[in-house]
Order: sequence, then structure tokens, then C-alpha cells
Amino acid sequence: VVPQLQPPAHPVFSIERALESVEGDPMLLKHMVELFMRQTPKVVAGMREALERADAPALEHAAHRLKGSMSLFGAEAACELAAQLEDMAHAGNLTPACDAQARLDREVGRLIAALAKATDAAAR
Amino acid sequence: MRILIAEDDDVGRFQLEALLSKDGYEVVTAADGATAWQILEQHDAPPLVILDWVMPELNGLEVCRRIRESHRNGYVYVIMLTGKTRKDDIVSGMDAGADDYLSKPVHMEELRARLRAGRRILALEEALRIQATHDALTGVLNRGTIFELLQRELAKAARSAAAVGVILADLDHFKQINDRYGHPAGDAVLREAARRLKASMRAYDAVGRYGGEEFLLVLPGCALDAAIDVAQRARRAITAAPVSTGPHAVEVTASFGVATAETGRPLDLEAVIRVADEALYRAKARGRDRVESAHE
Repeated sequence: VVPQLQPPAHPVFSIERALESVEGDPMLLKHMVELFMRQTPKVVAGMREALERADAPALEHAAHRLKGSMSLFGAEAACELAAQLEDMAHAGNLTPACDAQARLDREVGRLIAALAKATDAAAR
Repeated sequence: MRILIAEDDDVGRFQLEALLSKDGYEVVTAADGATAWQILEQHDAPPLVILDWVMPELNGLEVCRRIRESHRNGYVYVIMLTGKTRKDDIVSGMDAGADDYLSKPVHMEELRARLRAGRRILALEEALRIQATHDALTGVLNRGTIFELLQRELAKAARSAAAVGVILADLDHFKQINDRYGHPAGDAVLREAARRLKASMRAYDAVGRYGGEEFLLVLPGCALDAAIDVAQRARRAITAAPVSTGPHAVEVTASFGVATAETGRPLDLEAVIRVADEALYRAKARGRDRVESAHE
């Protein structure tokens, strides 16, 4: 019997899925991660501003965009949170959105850290 | 093949751009719908378009609608990218004129298969368009298309005070060629004559089949003397060598009537054709294998 590593309860992203997105090209993945790092703080800041302004369409759009980019890395938990926010905004239901946004912020922070770690490791 | 990727997510746009470039596509990108529409309005717009559904400024649906409303040459094949799976989205997208859709994250092999399907449609459309605008026997423009082109050039010339040269070319004694060598030989002569006419013209000139053995040449920006030069060159090209029709080598000559639409000369289509036709008649009457023009 081969002992197996216990997978973490919520993998932040999937390296298999991420590599699949670039058809196995590590240089492309590296560049995609860089683009994600550059784009995401702006998108997340835009979401928070939209929430403050109670601008549901802007929130929906930003959540949608964020979801799209994160799905390329197989970041399922973060995608799910973004999808929830997108749905809330679509329905004009911003009351639970603040809470969801806080959870999304944390998950996005974890994702960025994990992606940075993975690409650093690959660079070494 | 050129392809436009319109996607506001930098990461997803880069993914598609990088992988489709590897596949050999010439990729053009837009980060919002307004930019995408600007690119699509240009004369050399890409025939294949991947449109993200949700974009700032102008969403994919609206861009798609505009593509279908605009009358440009050639079909544009549109694949919409959707992050949602709501049924009404797909229905409204297809109703807006999308050819296909794909949900995100994009599965590359699926996208490739859908692009192949798109290219089949584009190839079919191109073949149909050529069939509808060209003469089946000679491959030059058909009568309707060369008339439309002449009409367009005349209108353009009237606006810019430029000239348009018009030449009517008629093969001499063509009926005798048919009678003596048979219709297949006659067809071969027509095909070769069309090829020689085309070869003696500039790249931006056009030639169409006007009637049975008569061709219409349209020379944008060409005043009378230059048009006469082109006609003389074409005349020499036709007679340069006998046309081989398999068993026979057929001597061929043609007569040419030259007219121009320019300042001080008639600018409407019927008038310029009439002048060219009268010149052609003189070329026939004065012994054939010659060029006559509106001068006389």
C-alpha cells in the first residue's frame, strides 16, 4: 500500500488546471500569473468601490472579470465566491455582498500568495 | 488567417492570443467592445472573431449585432465566450448573430474544433461569393460585377476629379473560330484571351466579361493616352502567340475601343460605355486587330 498525502481541504488553485490552460508551457503560465498579479488588485479595488457606491452593474462586471481570470488557474473556491458576488449584484441584492466581498478578498490574497510561491519555485 | 480576440480580462486574452499565435493565427486583440468594433469597421477586418460576452463600453452582444447590421465584403464568423450558462444568454447571443459560443474557461481543443468549423463556413462563403461575382468560363468578373465596379469607380472619380479609363475588347471573327475548331476550342480561346488581357493590366485594374466574346476593362486613375497604351499592350498580348487548344494552334486578334470618364468628358456609365462601343465599332470597320479611341 502506497501511503498518500492528504490533500488540503481547499486547494487554493490547481497547478494541473493552470498548466492545462497554457497547454503545458511554463513560460506562458509565468506570464499569465504576472498579468493576473498586475490586474487583480485593480479589479478588487474596483469591486470595493462599486460596493461603496452601491453600483450593482459595476460590481457584477468586475466580479465576472475576476472569475474569468481565476478560472484559468483552477481556483475553484475563489471562483465560487466571485460567482456568488456576481449573482448577488445581478439580482441587485447588495446586503450580503459586503460579507461575500470580505471572504473573496481573503481567498484572492491566498491565491496570489500561492501563485507567487509556485512561480518562484518554478523559477529556481 | 487573421483573428480578433475581444476580451476585457488581460489573463484570458493573453492565454488565447499566445496559444492561437502558436497555431499560426495572426491575432489582433481588443480589451473592450468599442475597440473591437473600431477594428471590425476597418477595411481589412479579420474574418474570425472571438467575442467575450461581458465587456465594458460595448458588450459582445452589441458588437455582434453591429457586425450583422454592417454591410461589408465577406462574412464574419463570430464565436461568443460566455462565463454564464443562463439559457437566455445563449438564445440572445445566437439571435444577435453569433455563429457559435463557448463557455469559459476555454478548453483549447474545443475552441480549435469550433474555429475549424468556422473556417469551413468562411471557405464556403468565399467560394460562393466568387461564384456569384465571376464568370465561370474565364474566371474574370461577370457582367453584373464589372458594371457595379465601373459605377463605383465613376462615382469615386467624380468626387476626386480623377479619370477612369474604359476599354471594350472584342475578339475578331470569334464565330469563325467556333465554327472551324468547335466550341471547346472557342472556350479555350476565351479563357486564354481573358488571361492575356489580365496579364497586360495593372494590379488595380479590373476586367469582366461583357458579353459572348467581349470584355470590359476598367482602369481607375487612367486618362485617355494611358488607357490607349494599355489597350495597345493588351492587343499585342492577344496576338503575341497562337492559342493552343490541344490539337490546334489558333491565331487570335482583338479590336479595342477606348473611352475615358474625366473632367470635360461624360461621366455616367451609359455614356462612357457608348463612347467605348462606338470606338470599338470603328476599330472593327477599319480592319480589326486595332485600337480606336474617343479622340476621333
